[in-house]
Amino acid sequence: MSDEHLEDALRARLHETIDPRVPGVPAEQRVFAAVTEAGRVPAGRFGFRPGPRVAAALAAAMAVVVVGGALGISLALRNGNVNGHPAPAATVPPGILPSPSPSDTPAVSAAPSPTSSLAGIQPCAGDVLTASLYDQDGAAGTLGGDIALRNTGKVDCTLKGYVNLQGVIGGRVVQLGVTHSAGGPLLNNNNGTLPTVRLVTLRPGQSAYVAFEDSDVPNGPTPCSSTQTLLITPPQGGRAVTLTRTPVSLCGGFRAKLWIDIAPVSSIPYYNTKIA
Amino acid sequence: MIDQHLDDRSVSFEAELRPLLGVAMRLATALRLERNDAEDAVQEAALRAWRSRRNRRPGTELRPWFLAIVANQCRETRRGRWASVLRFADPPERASVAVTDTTGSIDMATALRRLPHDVRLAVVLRYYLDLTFDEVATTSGCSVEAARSRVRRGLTALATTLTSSETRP
Repeated sequence: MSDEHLEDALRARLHETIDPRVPGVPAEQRVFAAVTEAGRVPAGRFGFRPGPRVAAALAAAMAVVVVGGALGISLALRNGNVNGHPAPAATVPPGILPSPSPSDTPAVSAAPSPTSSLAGIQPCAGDVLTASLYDQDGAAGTLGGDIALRNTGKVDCTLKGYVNLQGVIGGRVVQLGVTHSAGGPLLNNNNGTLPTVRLVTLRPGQSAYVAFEDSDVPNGPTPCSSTQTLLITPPQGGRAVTLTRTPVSLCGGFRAKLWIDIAPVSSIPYYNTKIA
Repeated sequence: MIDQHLDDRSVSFEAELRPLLGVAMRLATALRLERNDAEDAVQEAALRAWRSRRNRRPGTELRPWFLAIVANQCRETRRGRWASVLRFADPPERASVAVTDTTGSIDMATALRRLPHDVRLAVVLRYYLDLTFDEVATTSGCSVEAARSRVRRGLTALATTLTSSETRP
């Protein structure tokens, strides 16, 4: 066999042997998500980074714990008890008054929820609120954080329910595919259970929080997008509050093209991983 | 703020790296001959590359630099005892994919495993990824002459496998 013939045979045999074993596009996406995560997580935060198989085993174990925990909490709340005792009131900072929590059903929605307020205290208008990113968290392919809404006015005001989110993409304001706790608890429940819809009263200078979760991994044929600016409409409507210089990745999910999931306005941050 | 944690160079590096993940997967699979090991190796290599991105000399092309890291990662994984002990569950889409080996591919896989790492790397780079000898040398961290020599040794070693299976009825 000539060298040329030998080389051609070797090429063919290598492809026959190796090609069926090559991991596919999902594997590339997992690797890329891990690298992207490394770019977002401050150095030294994680000393150990699991490989895909370790991550899969950990994810399976965590799913069992989370599902089991959620079932237990759900049953306890249905009975009005936690561990056989009456459920305690939520702990909140002084001056922020939670109201009893009505039940809430996850749903895809683009419109702010109509809500009521305490007598004599008006809903917070966009004019008196400022927005900032309070904290952030992330895992491979999934990101999240809390948006702080601060009352800069001179009188108390209230927030209750879900905000609406729009983004600025290519110079145009676009409606985001906002879901409300669509996947159950958000990605990293560091702070207890997911917030429920409550009336939050803000004194001047105080903040309420909106937890969100988004994805940076393409899901389906639609490419991901991102926005540096969020327009946040308070639950009671009115003028939107602008949050700038905050990159948010927007991929498909839950039948939305620019998916982002949010929790109701809460008196305490959900992720509780304070930046700076 | 979140933008304080974002480094423009990191974003640029990630954008450069992404198109190389496919060829990196192919290289790692050729060296490890096992799908899961290959993905693990590429992930570790990608994270190593990301952590070392500032150490890359100006003007150095990313592709051979990254492929060299992948090759080193595959060699280190091969040496590690735990690589042959620890086995974890597969992600679902991987567990459902079965590799159907033919007799010829089994013979070739066996023959590849017998080659020294440097020779196998040179053969794979040259005949599977179709790199030039210059690129083989850069990725392998050796001279072009040494790269030619390794490829020649590999071809000679594999010739028996190729000719015997060609004459098999």
